[in-house]
Amino acid sequence: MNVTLPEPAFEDLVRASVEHQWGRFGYYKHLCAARGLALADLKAVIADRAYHRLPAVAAPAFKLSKGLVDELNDLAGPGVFQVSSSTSGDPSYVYTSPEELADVTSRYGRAFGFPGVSVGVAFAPSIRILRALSKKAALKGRRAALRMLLGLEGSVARYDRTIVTVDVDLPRTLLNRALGRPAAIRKMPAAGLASIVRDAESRGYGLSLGGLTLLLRPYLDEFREGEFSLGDKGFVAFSGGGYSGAKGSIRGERIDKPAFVARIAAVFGLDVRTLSARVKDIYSFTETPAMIEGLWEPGLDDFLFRPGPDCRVYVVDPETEAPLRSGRGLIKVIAPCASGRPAAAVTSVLQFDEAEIVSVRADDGRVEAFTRVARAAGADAPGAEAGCAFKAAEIAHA
Amino acid sequence: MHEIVFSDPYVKAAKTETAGGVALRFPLFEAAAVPDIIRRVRRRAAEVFAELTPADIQASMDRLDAVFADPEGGEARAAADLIHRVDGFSRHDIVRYGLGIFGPLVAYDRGLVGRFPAEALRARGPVETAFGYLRAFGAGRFPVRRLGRPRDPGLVSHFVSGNVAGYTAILTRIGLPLEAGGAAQLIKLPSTSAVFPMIYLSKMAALAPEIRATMACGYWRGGEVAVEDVVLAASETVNVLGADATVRDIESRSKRLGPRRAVVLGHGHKVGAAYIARPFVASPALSERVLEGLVRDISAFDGCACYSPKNIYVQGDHRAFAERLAEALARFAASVSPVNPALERIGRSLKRIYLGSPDVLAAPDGSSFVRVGHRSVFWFPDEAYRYVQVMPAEGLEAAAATLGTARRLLQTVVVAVPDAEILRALELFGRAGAGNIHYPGSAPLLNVYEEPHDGDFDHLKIRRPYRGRFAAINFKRNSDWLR
Repeated sequence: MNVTLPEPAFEDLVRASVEHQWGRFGYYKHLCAARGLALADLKAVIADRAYHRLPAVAAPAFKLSKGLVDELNDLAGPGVFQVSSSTSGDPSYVYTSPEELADVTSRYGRAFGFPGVSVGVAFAPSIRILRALSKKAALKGRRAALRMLLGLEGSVARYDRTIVTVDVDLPRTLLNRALGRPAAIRKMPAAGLASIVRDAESRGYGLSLGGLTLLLRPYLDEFREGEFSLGDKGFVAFSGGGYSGAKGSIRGERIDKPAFVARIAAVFGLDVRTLSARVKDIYSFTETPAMIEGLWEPGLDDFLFRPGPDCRVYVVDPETEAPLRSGRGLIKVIAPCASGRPAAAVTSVLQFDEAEIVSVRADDGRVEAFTRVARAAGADAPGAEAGCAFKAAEIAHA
Repeated sequence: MHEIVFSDPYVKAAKTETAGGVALRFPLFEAAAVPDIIRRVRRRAAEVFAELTPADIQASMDRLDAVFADPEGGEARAAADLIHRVDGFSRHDIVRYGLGIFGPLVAYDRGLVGRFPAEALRARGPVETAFGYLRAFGAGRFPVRRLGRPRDPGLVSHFVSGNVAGYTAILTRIGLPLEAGGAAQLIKLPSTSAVFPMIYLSKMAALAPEIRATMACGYWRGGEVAVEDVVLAASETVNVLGADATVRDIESRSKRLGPRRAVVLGHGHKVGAAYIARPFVASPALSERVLEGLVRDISAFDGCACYSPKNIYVQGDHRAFAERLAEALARFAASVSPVNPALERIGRSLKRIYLGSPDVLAAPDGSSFVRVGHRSVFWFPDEAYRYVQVMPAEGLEAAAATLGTARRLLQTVVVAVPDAEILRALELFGRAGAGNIHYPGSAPLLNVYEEPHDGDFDHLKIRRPYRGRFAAINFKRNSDWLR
């Protein structure tokens, strides 16, 4: 991420965010007290830049089913809830001030961008679909925005032209509404995608293919290898995972990453010698403002994620939460929000995802590079049998 | 490694899996063999039920149940040891709340079997049973076939879920003859670690081989269409226990594939509750007894059963009650019934999540969690664990109204109310949708002879279909359990 944040500025932001959290969230105070830590201790930890010692809120605490929305979010000020895609059927709700929301959106724009590329194909639902779903997700009288919407808005702002692959079929939706049925969704046909790619080929402009892996995957079966030849003009940027075969209400086959990337390169004719510069994944989750870019690393057969200067990442022991120097563990992220006044207790978060350490800094144990991210065993309980909260077909009732 | 072989007279293929350091060999249904299995078990069942009278069968089943009813008996102890080793649930729960259902069945007056449901269908109010009261609800609840021959249940297939010892096997009674009309039965094991059904059937083979010959039992992977479609196509009666989605799926496939007028008994997801009236909160002695019982109800099989209380409505100082409950749960896990090691990760995860919340009282070792609610709602738990929510209650009527908002999910309600309100509790919670109203400490102890399962007497419903539903309470006065 091309953002510079000197170490003292990061320290100041963490201090401001933690002090704000301490003052606003009884939950965080209680969490620290359970670990025997007072505010003065937290300040000392920050002064030592030993951020891994800051108690972390477990990311699933933000899930609606946990009943902690009021304890983890400060609804006193203006803002909206960021809402996760709810793959487990149990969305997370994270209250966010307008300036934080703008910051997260612009971070997405930067993360999805590639130098010199001005046209993007987003394998994602359209902004109108995501806004309608966001409207449905309002809670406690506060508006909501799907995190996926922020990603798409960031991308739209970044590129001169963004084309989405899933949108509302307006004529059929109007007919359906008259009959009291859900909206109709239209997926871009393979020929439509082919036409966009061929236009980029013939005119020689850079093209970014990005968004959700599960929405790109079916197109790969529609084309033969060598169908296109984008060469050094083609770029790919995924976000939101989905490699397990599930993302929100979207279901597909489990994705084998090396085979998937190889197939993309073969179909779109990407320059295979420079794949590590043109295929990336963005690791992020609703409960943190951090966005961590990972470039494809052929030697690992996976993405290699390198945290930017706006966050600290630790891979910690699943039992003790002590930072590890090697091996696999849970991901802990320290990411102060840009304002230093978080509207939710998200400065230090323990995500129930596992990652493998590639390198750590010797002096403070922060992870410089990690790979092979996957849900921790048992992280997704069956939960309430309410079904997925966000199904595209439901937008007719939005 | 020690190998235990479970066999079935009809299912020849087998599968071996290791659990708890034991190699378990189970009968395995293979698609190609299913039609022949069904044909043979049907033929043999018809022969057996033509020879044996219902009284003979009842006597044989009593002898079988008696083996498991004595917790000190060698075979019951061996069964409990094996279940504990394979499943990981505490030995205390297996003996007291799994095998514990057999004692009252063995001691039951045989002359009363089947009597109370018929009486309740005729009565306008509750009828007194051996242990409590039974009430039928719903207009036009009389049997559709009151006279003449009962419906032939045909082939009864059980799609069993869960590993709760006792319950997983006792379902086989549904197919045994009532006045007449025994059925061939086919039982799908819920998993290869669910050993109790096979232990029960092995003992049945020794004590009542003719009855055992009316059933085929084994494992297939849930949703394996090649097996299930053949089974559903042949089954006149299907008994399915599981997630709501599973029940819906089986129902729709039975409708599409099965015989015309096939009956599906669907038992979906359930969430238990408890209501504690003011006198049982205010009195130190009474509240102690209530807590003692509730702790056992909540902890039984780590809160994973359909009867496990989750929503606890308390008249009086609910916060103080919740604090005492949390302490009692932690003590119980430490000293009597530890959490199944396979479920400890749930406790660790919940502990991390709730460490910062003053309204969630966690046991220090993460073995249990008590949420304190500030108002009375129906809470749908996000984890199956020793995990409950305590809320304030205005009274019986208000608690029943709250439960009534989730009637599809109701089954067992634990109650501690004054003697004068016992029948009122049956009436109100029964109308709300509950089927089993129990005193504290007895939530798991269903008596199938006088209590419905999810509001129905399945063995009756498949022979003499009726409209309406039942609710039973398992005590008549508080002195029955406050001894």
